Amino acid sequence: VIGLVFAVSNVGYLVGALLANRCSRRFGVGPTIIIGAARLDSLLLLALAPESNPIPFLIAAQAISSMGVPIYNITQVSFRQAITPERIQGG
Amino acid sequence: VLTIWQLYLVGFAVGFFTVFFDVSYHSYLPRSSRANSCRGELEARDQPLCRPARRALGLAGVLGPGADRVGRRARGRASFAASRSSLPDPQEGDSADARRARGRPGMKAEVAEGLRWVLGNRYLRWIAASTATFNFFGNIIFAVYLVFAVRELGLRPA
Repeated sequence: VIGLVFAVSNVGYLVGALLANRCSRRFGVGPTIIIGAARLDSLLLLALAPESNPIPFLIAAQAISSMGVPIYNITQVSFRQAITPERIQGG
Repeated sequence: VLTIWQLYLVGFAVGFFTVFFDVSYHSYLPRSSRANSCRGELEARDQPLCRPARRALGLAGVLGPGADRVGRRARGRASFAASRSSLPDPQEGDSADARRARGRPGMKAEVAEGLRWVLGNRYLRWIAASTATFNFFGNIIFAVYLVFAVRELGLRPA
């Protein structure tokens, strides 16, 4: 069951990766970073999952939060690399 | 037996090692794509592959028969090591001595310069703060999540 929960909700990563560029074009870089960061609120669903029927809660929590990961990282890292001089990027 | 302070410790330790992984792979990208045009796409390709792989390995560690705490950690570290060693070495032929000879000041000075840059920039400062906060607590959450799912929610591994 747990494996299934992970397998299903990791689709969120793919969806997020596909959405990230579209998101930052549409809403702007700043709001997209905030949207990506707000994903972690969905993890509250983990704590709210009722013992009788926890699986939808777990899937929702993980899917939403994993969707935010690439949205946040792609936007934030690209932004960071764009405004940082190449010399101090640790190359 | 598991107290919140141990979890803080785990959260901190995982974050500590993640820094090494993230710094090296984030500087690997601009280095290997000097053209810059495909930076965003490279990032996009890396993230979804990398994180679930790490999680999956962690999962295998927790749920595998006879897995103890040390084994779990070791597998987590092993996934870092595996992802690292699957990359060609960007520093090949570029030793610390060679860099110093080109007039680069050495690691401490460079780290200090980088920190000054991050803390001195209003955007980077807040990005760093928010990323640090939720990575720290995220590490804690995922350290107890599977235990919670199995023990409290009564879910089965497979």
